[in-house]
Amino acid sequence: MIQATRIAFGVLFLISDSLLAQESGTSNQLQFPDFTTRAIIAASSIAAFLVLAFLLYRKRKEVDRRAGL
Amino acid sequence: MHQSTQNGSPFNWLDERVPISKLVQFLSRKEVPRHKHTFWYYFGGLTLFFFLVQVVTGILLALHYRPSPEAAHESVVYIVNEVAHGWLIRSIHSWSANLMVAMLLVHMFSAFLLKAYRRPRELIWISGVLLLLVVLGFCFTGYLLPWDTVAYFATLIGTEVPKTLPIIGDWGVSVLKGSQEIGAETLARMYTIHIVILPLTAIVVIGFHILLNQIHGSSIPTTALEQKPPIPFFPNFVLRDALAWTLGFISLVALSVLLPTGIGEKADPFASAPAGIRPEWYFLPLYQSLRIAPASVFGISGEFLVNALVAAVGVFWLLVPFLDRSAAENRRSRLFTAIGILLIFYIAGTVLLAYTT
Repeated sequence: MIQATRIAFGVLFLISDSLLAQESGTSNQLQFPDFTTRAIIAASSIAAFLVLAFLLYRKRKEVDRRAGL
Repeated sequence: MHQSTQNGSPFNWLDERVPISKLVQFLSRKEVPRHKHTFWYYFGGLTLFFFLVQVVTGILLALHYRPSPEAAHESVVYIVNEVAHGWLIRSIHSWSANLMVAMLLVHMFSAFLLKAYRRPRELIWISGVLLLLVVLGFCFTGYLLPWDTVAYFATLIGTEVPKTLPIIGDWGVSVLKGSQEIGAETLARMYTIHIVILPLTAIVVIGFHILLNQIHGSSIPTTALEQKPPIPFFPNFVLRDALAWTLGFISLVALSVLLPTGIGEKADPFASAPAGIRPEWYFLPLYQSLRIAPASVFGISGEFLVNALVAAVGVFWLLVPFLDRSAAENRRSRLFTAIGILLIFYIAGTVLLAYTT
């Protein structure tokens, strides 16, 4: 699982770098946080919003049941 | 809700002046049809969601952006490098613009194929087509703002497009550019259109679009023969919408954080246009059509013909509710379905062709 996550992030890193280089040509003007920091930001926000999505899904199920849907 | 609000409570004070409880009553009585195509109803809400993200991030960017050829590029670099979370806000602004166009296209084509423009929803369709123009206007005017080489030359090409139109062509170009060259006047115009004129227009048209949608309700496709009991709008459909918005936000955050938006070299009007320059994906159908068009057909310029054809398709698209008589009579209209599918293939094909050639 950890290995798969590493590979997935590695691929994303390569895509990210190549896209940036392609789009800007001079991406060194911009100082983005390094990839590890960005991956942590992405993973933690995605996890938080997935929890929210799950809670919304559960609430939806509950109100649907009450409405007889 | 009413049990928890005592007489003289802040809620009652507000409710007496702004009839919130009546609005809640209206929303709880409102129902959304439930059938095999209900899934497509979520894309209108998702388009609105990405528009709201655009508004919020756009305001934050405007606090630091400086709309002049001397300072624009530096201010964007400053936003990314110095402003707290500036890189993320700019990236979210850029990616949500792309996602907004994508959701709008899905919403529009699904409405087209499900014949949601049938009587009495003609004006909902027309306001939706106007919103597409407004959104593309947002994208076009926003593209120049970073003032980098690609934005500069793409705008130079884009502002020349109306030139082939008879009578209003030169006027259209001068309105967009503000001067002979792409310069301070052009940037000021693009910025003003981007942050004042288009947002005001969008608020009015979106308001009208949503109001009519509330009055007439969601359209039920003629092909949805089996209908299940409808979904109460509040809270059942609202919760579904909220779930879709959350998933949309997750996608937006993932794209913005992992693929942050870059910037090119500062625009130099005296430099030559970089090789392989092409517009954003949503303008590629027009760009690719211009590329493949012959120089002239029977003495008429190919560029003029493409522009005229695009204008004709635009007018057809706007007037679809009045042209599709079968749908107006709640009968299947295979011709219009075929036109819609053909258009989807043409857009997808030209985008792919532009990326691969």
